[in-house]
Amino acid sequence: MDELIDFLRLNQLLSHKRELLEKTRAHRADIVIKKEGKPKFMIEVKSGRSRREEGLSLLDRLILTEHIRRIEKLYEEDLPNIFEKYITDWLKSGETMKALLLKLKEIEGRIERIEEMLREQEEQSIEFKELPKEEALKLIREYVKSHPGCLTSEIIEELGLDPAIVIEVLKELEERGEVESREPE
Amino acid sequence: MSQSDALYFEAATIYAREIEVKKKPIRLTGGHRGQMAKAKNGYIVIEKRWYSKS
Repeated sequence: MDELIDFLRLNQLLSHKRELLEKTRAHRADIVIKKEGKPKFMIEVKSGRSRREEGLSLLDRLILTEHIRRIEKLYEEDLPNIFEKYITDWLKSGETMKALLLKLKEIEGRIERIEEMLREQEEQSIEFKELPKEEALKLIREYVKSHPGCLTSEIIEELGLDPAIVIEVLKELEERGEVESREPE
Repeated sequence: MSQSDALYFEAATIYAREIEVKKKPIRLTGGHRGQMAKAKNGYIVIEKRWYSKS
């Protein structure tokens, strides 16, 4: 990599030297490219004071021009490319975000539907109470009296009583002769 | 009622913690088709109709 940079730098300096020679009409020997330190190559202008100053000034301008060219390249080529890449990435991430939001809404809708179903089930559910036997007996006796021909399950569900208590009470009422059972048709 | 009794019923209601109705149809004696349900932890109430005597 260093060699490549040195090579490019040398080429650049050779181009500057040619330009200096053309514009200052300096002697070829007055402008030399030295190889030392960092950067490894540099231009040294050897000549009389006026020519030397003229050459250095021109060299400064050339270096400045080179920097301006690089800055222009940065603004005209590099930055637009970088921005384009960022904008493309940003738009892509925006699309992903949009898709995720849609998915999230869909999931929210599903959760709401499940919650609604659970609420409906909760509202429709029967809770069996465990009343004292004497209290259950009164309730069942009254229910059978007011609903002749009712099914066992109807007594359980309508009164919301534990099935075991209802069966026990019905047997007792039957034994007492207060109610009678028939097979359902 | 012992646990291995099989009861015939005209109508029954099951109250259980878990009831699973099997999709596979079954052939009952007498050539009738039917369904099967398996239940856990609950009551099978054999239905009767009830009338007050008083």
